Amino acid sequence: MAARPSPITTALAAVVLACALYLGFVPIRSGPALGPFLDPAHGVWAVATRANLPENQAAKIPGLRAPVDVRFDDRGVPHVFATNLEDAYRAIGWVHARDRLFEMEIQTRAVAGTLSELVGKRAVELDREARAMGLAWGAERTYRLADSTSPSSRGIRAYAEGVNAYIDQMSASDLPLEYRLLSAKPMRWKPQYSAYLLSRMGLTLAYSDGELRRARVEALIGKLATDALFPSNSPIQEPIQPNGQHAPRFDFAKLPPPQPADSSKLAVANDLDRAAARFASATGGEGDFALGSNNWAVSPKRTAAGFALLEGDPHLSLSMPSVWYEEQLVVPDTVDAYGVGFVGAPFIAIGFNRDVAWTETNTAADVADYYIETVDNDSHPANYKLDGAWKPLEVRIETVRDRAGAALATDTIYHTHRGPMLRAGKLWVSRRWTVLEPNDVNGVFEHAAMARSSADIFKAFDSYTTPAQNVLTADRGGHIAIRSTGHYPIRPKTAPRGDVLIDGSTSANDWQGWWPLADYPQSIDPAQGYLASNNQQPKDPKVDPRYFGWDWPDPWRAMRINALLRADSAVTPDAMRRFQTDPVSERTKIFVRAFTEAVDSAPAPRDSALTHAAKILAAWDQRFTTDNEVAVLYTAALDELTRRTWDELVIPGATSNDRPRGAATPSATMLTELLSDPKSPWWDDRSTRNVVEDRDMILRASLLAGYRRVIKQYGEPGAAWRWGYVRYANIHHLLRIPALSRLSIPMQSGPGTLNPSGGDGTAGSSWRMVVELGPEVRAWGTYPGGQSGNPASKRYDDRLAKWQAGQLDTLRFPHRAADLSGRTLSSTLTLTPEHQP
Amino acid sequence: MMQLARLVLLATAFAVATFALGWWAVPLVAAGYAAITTAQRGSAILSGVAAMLGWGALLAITASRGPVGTLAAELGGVLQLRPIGVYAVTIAFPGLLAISAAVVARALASRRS
Repeated sequence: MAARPSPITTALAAVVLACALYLGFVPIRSGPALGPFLDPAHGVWAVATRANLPENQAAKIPGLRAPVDVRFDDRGVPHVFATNLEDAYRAIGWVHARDRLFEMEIQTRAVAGTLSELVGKRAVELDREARAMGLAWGAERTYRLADSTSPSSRGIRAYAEGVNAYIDQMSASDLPLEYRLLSAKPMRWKPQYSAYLLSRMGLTLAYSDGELRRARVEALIGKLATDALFPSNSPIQEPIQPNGQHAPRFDFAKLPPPQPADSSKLAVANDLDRAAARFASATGGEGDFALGSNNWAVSPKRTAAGFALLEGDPHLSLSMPSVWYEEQLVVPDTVDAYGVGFVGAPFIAIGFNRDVAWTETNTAADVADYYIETVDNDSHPANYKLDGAWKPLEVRIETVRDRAGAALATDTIYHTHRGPMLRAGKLWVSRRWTVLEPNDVNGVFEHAAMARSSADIFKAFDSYTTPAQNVLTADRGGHIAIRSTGHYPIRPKTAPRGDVLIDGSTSANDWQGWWPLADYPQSIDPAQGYLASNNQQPKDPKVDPRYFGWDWPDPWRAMRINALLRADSAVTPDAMRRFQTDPVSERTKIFVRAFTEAVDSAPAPRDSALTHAAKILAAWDQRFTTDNEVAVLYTAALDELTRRTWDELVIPGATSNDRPRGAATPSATMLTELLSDPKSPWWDDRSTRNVVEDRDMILRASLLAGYRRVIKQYGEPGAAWRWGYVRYANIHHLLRIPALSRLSIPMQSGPGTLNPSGGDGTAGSSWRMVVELGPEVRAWGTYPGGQSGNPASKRYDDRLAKWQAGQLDTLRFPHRAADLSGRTLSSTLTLTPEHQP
Repeated sequence: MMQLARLVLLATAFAVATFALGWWAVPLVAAGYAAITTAQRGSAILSGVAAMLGWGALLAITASRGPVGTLAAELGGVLQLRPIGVYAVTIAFPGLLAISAAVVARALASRRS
């Protein structure tokens, strides 16, 4: 008989067994339990078995009325061939869930404020912000008030059926990696989550809190200077709606000097700023955020082939996987459209069909106003005053919970008839915001996909509300058209403009309706033969002086694309592609000249380092290519110039390490305007005593400081200064796990270029598309990432290299399922009704 | 030869049990085997090696159905391990479970007899 194990060995084994079982069964913190995670059959390793598309797959979907044939082409794009629209939506719901289930859930939870239920306590503040914003509240109201028999309502219900059919049929091996890392299971999909998604886009594209932040600027420099530095009209006019000019117009004026800071106003202003800052993480942070979408179209008379061309290039926060999913939906005699849609909704947001193409950029109009409310109790209000009477506040109790259902935080959100209130010190401020108003945006996209002409696209977008978009379209009839579409509030003539805080005690200050369609900025087949939008001020104020917004994105990109299109009377699809990553900025031309002229005018003796820096800058080709060795000097000098010029806006007590250090930073167009006034008091550096600096002194000091900074950071001029080492894209995974992210991607992009870059590199071109509207529509496109959300799949990031290089793929647009075969076909999915054998 | 046959059979048992029931079948199989082979020397070690082989075989089958190497690289990044470390943890875990369960089971079985 063998020896019995010694007591010590047995005890040791028992301890090891207990530990192994504990690690096997119990998740540590928010991580996975090791047992099911490491299981090589059904655990995390099974993720690899779902990385490649199966050659043939079949599934059943409850509610499906007829079989649906889904063909995946060699780029992993599903081409859905269905016999009716709702079946097509069910199919695309199933496909989205298979390829992007975790993304669908996390972005929904981000809106709902339930991230903590998935990732734990670390998301509590994000959840509280989301709930205070009221995005889910608004989306639920939209869903509740929608006509349940409308095509779009039926569409999102069908989509939900498809998603849930997939979830119900998932095997243990189908669970995406992220759920395994979090030890979580997928939630079921509700139709209203498609509305949540659009609320999230509203937050990204149409949120503004400038009114709250402006109060502090006013306290620092006075109202007159604030109005001048943050104007409602851009001082450089290159509008979306052509104004008959053949070059940008510079409406430069002398800026009024800053007034001394008013400390009595500063305390309240700081409270307002803190209230705004509370939402900073939900709205993309307070950093230098480089969102900058482009679109342009060229009429047949200016294209080489004689067909209309359209380009779409929306810039958004980048993520792995991408917010976009590429797809084609085909229902005979109803729709045959290709493009990108958001995962979480069944509709194509940007794309084309056999007759027409459409795309959007963001209209940065002012669609949110803030009202100072009078409440009956500062701490726990129950009523607010309106027209001399107390009105009851709507109260919403929001409890953030963990996965087990335990309460992590409870907030009371108060609503006036305008929207949710936020507290800023002793002030209560309500926000009216078009994004929270009921809408039927999904229905708009459905109709757009069925359009036969540019006129039909306009018609489809007639009922579009939010977030306001510059909708550009081109058709096979040779028409091009653009309209800044969305709900724009009519503000009472007697009320303050929308860029300041408004007295909420009177309903006379409330919005009175929406602008009529005819008043929207728009253009159809302009004489110039092309149209472009780049988020700039849409309408020349000399054409229409009405208030439409303020603090417009700079027009540098518009100036560049218009210059390129004016210069090319035979545009090709490949030229359209090249323009997308054009490395030139119109802004650079102005500031390089200013820097070098300032150095030329310097009195002798000149600092040798300054002379050397100016020499380098003067010889620069002014292109933001990845191998460029001077762009870094220019951006450092401009950064110094911005910081030194606007030192009047530094928050009292802020140190050089504080972010943000200033109450706000005026746009580069204001700095350009200031260049025309060399003796303006704004040039004075307030940190130097007994010296009053002028423009050229500050330009020289900035160039020198920028030069020294770059040398300190990167070494002597040369290869170490390569732009590709300095500026890159950072595409974070949705959980910000570095290993699943794609970081430090060198890019041909720069501030003010058509492919703008800035800040931490987390925003950029989210989809690039070129469409030629010839007898047979041809299209090219790509986006950063890939169709699959599975990091083990080659389709997770297979498009990244081309995106980085500014290349596009040819998009396959088959008429019939059978058109995809052989090497163009990678997978077939057959979906059948549940009760069909 | 007999020992090798035992090893293969036991490894198959671990693989099948894991596939059918889940990871927690590993200590059960190991304990069961230890309980019925109290007379054999080295059965705990044999269990451990067989469990590792069983899971290794399952991993190999999984690798034949998808890019396990790519996944190991991504997981290594997530867990801050080298890819080989991810494989090592996966293989070591059932070994640890099986050996410890076998030793404990054998001690209990010996006490009863």
